[in-house]
Amino acid sequence: MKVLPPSAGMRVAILGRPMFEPHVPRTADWAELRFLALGEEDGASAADEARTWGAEACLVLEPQRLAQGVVARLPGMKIGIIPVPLDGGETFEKLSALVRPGGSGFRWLTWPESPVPSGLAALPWLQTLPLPVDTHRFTEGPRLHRTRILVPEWASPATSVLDRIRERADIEPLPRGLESSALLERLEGAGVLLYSTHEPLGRNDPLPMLALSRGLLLITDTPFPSDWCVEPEDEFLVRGGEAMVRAMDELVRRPGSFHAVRVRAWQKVRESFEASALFQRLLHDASLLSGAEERGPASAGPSTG
Amino acid sequence: MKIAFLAGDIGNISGGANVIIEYAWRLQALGHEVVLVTHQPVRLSPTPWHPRLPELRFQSFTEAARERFDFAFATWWLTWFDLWRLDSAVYGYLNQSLESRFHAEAHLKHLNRITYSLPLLFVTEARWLADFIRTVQPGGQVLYVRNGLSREHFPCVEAPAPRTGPLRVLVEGPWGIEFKGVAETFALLEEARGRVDFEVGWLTSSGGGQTPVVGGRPVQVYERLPIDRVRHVYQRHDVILKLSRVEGMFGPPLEMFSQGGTAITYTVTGSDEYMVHGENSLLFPPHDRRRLTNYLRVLSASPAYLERLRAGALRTARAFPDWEASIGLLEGELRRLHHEGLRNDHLRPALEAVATLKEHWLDEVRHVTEVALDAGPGERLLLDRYRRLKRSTGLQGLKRLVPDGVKQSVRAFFTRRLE
Repeated sequence: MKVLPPSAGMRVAILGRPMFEPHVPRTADWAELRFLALGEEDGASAADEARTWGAEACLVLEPQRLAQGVVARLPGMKIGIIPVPLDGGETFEKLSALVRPGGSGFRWLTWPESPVPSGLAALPWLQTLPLPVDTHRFTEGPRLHRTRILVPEWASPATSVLDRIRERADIEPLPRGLESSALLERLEGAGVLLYSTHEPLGRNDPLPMLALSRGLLLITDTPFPSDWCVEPEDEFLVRGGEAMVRAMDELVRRPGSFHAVRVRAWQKVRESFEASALFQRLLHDASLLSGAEERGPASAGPSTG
Repeated sequence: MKIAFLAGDIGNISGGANVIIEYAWRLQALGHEVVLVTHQPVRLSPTPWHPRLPELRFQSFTEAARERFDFAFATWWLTWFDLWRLDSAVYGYLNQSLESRFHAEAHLKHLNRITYSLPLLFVTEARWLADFIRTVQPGGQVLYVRNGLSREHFPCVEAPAPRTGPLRVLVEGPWGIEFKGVAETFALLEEARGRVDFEVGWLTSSGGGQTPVVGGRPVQVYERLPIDRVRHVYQRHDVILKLSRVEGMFGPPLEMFSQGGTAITYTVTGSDEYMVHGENSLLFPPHDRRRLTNYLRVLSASPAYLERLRAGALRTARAFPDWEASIGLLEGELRRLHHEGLRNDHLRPALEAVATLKEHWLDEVRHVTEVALDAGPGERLLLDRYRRLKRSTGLQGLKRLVPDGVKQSVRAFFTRRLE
């Protein structure tokens, strides 16, 4: 997707824990970007670095992790990106306290799904934004000749299903807690991801979307949230239990069976979940809607989902 | 050169049919012998929806099978399975979308995937499709030819017309096709109407007998307009709203650009061919559909921003190739391939084998579906009789006599009654 930049060449700092790095564009032709990793401390050093660098906008992943004083030190337009739905109570209060007028707090926030919880409806929601993927880290097309099968330890299909699949092909477990670079390396060498969950796919775990972005064949027992419009059978397969075994059997017998699905998976992430385009549009809309609000009550305001 | 296009329902309005007509007519105008091969005779009304339709030559498969072609192109995916019936030096596929996405049924998706299984000559209108085909069928040749903007039907206006009054929104798309998202669009407009003032029109090839209501007022419906009258509808609106979720490379936003309007669409496949968020249009993903209200509010409250988008849109339309340029490019490529002696007629037996398999396999699927139908023998018998009645010559003849608008109204009446 093409987006007109809010102001060409602006400096944008993106702050977040290192695990979010694969979801943040390293470079873009519409802005100067810098990823500032948030460690265990309160984020003050990252905020100072953004200020010293002269950032004109700061995008903060998990804004609720920052203290009010740190948010106040961030330069430029401040937008908080909530990548995973939050639980209520204390987190909601903390988030609400970080939204302040006059530039000392977050001007806008994004929530990963719609609608936002009623307890947060009064906050200035700019967009619904599921966690995107920096697809520019792997610009080649899907590597269709790779067929290794990954199964995450935390989202593994039933043992009986895996045993039946093992009779047909080798399976590689994907352990918990891998660093981003190691995780991406494992995805790079694979062709299939088997994934089982009871939650809407991708809501709390970016792995399925990362797998699609690399052109892996995703076989899962649960679909993505319907309004993400990731298309079952055309872009991933919904197969549980015996149907998952049958799909693997078909794949082993004819490895090219699902090449079209893998290509579309690779394309879909670039069409709808590409980090650079989404952040560019986010900043465009933030500046557009901020300007409209300043012009008067009849103009545009934030969506409350 | 002698060129055949295998077409489906070309007598009725659709973006896909428009593309086929432009290809056929313009290649014919360049001196080639072009035929459109269809299963059913094409019935043309005294005022056909596309003025070039009466100038085209149509043939049945029986007639076309007696001739020898230089190029034979499948178009709508089901026509791929008829390619083998023609004798051609080159078999090709004018592929306008990944049409498996049109269907919810898994067996149709699998069947559609087969249409990429042979290394034919592919012609396609969108980069994403060209990339898709090159990756899944590296043995084929792929020509990427962007659809042109018709300067005949959509000549660019001098400047966007000055506007007053509420924002004028034009919804585009047929009713009843889920992925076209028209019902969803009217629901979103109804939601937005409480926060922003606008007027709504609806341009549709098929309204299904519906007159949607937004803000308590029925929308103005423009149904089944001949293509040479469509620009006048565009000119009466500021923004086209098209929330389809599957496209090859859609034409209506670009046509709207040529008439000095802007567009709001989903980030759908093919939108990147000419749409740029914030420059000539506004785009958002389906998971953020409520953002539509914000965009309508901005366009309504900020005339300067609306004018900026309209001016950008008109620039885009002016710079976009017209059909003459697009078909000129295609013809040059076909000539080159012809002179180089390209042939792939060795694929004809494979095309026939796959088509035979499809017929038998589909019969099996139909049988299995009917067996799985939750109905007793009596109900199945009734269903079978009903289907036979629908196919009967008498009823088919009667249907031909009844205008389409009346048929749609009758269908809508009974659907409402039975639902």
